[in-house]
Amino acid sequence: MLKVDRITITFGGITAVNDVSFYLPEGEILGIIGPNGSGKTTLFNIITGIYRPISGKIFLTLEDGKVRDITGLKPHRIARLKVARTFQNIKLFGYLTVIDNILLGRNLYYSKNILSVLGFEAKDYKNNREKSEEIIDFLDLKAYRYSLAKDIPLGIRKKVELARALAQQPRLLLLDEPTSGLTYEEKSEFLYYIKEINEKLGITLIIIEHDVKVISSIAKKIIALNDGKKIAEGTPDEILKNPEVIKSYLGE
Amino acid sequence: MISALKKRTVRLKIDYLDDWRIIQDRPAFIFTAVSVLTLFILPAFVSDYIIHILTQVVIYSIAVLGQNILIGYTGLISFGQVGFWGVGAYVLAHSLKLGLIPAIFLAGVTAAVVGAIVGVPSLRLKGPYLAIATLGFSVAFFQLVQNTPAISGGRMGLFIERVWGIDSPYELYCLSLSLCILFYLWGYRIVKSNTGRIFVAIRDSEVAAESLGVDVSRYKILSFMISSFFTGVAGGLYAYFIGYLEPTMFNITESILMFSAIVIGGIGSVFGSALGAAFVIVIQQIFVALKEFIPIVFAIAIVLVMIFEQHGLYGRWIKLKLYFMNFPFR
Repeated sequence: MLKVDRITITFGGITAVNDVSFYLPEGEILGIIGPNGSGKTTLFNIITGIYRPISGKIFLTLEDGKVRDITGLKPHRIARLKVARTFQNIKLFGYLTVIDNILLGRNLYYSKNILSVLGFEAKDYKNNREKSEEIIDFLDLKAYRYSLAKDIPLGIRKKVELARALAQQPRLLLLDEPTSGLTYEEKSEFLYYIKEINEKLGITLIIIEHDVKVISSIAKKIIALNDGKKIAEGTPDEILKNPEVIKSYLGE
Repeated sequence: MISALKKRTVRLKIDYLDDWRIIQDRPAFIFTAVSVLTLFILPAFVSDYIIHILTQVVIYSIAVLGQNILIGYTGLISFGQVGFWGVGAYVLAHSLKLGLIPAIFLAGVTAAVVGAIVGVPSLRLKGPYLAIATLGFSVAFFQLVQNTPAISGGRMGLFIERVWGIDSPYELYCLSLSLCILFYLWGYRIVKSNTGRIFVAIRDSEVAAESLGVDVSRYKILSFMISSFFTGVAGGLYAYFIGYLEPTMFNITESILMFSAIVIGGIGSVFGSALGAAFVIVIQQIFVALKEFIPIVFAIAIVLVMIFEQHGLYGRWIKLKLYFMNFPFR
């Protein structure tokens, strides 16, 4: 599904991601852990095209089985290849309602002829609205449909962002700290959704997570980063026993 | 009156398309129909002077709406308004042989093409830097017109002969009003469409918009084109209405005036654009004897809006509407 091959990126003198590679088979969940500033989000930004790596390549297997080099493609081109993501500091469109935010996730499914671009698009609205409502049903956001995204609580905002990403009908979904700042109940609810997304919808996931308990309960494979380098890769149990991970997380 | 309001039956939404419609229930429809009818009939009973002001308001509100789509919805702060307005005006003045409606259309299209070119810096520049770049366009346009007699008609200015049958103030008013209504309907359609949502998305977070597959560059240019089309049409209409053009009418202060109309009317609201346009034109008429005070009035108005009502006159309008909808209660 996704193959990251020896990615390196520097900002000024700092090497934010240093020679990281991994492979993610279709339908699996990959967890990424690491202390603050270890390059997790930068890695996401490289995969989604916001940053261009100075060396290394990223390959994505498309729906028809072809492998495509997506290194250095513009973010909107990568989104068109059905890669969706959420952000660590939730980037919802605050002055739009929740339903409008989710509809924006469906913008690729709107026809792009001149009339509909200029605003005349009744049929598109209906179809896409129906799809969005399915997601609203799935994530149980009915009560917030018409609230402005800036007015709703954090737990719901996280769900709306997930809904917006799901509305893109992605094949690969990148979640950046989906459960940070949530209560215990909200965390377990979120984990349930993530499981559903993976199993029922068959979406491949990469999840950045600080809470090792959370990530080891859903991910089959975990990568640990420190100072931009990959220090360990393996099943949750292996990662938790790895001396380097313990060192970088807990200190010596 | 109160009982009528109490009986106000709100139609429940039963179809997804109900959210898509511009006029969503019967009371809104009645209100709109009555106000539009009033606007058409009213001038028959008032003096030519009032009609003159009304026509100005109606034309100006098209331009303000266009710029509000750019500034309010897409969040690209621009001071190129007077340039697009002027392009529309001069294109109409030189192409009126084609007939009025084609000339107005041509004015809009030319302005849109110019808008696409002026919009290119917006792909790189943000916030105040873009404002300065577009201000440069306004200044350049003013200089171009002033120094090119072939365009501006030299020292005499440019007189526009009314070639078409539309000549009396009332006819002109009706033409402008019909165009205004058409453009406002279109404006609402844009704002409620996927394109409109993308504009707001670009304003709120470009990175997130891109991650949803939005080609931000393309939509920024599109926003520039749509807004300058509106402004160009309004400029052309204004030229035909005034019947005379001279370069000083396209001073950059006009850009700032249109900007204040947006801020006072309500940033990012369609109806607010009309309110803002009306405010700007009417204030200018009220203070016509005290011209020096007009900038001060606008300055105070903007400061008041910024402090007390960020949504401008539109915000006030919504609050007023809510007050009457729940009349006996607060």
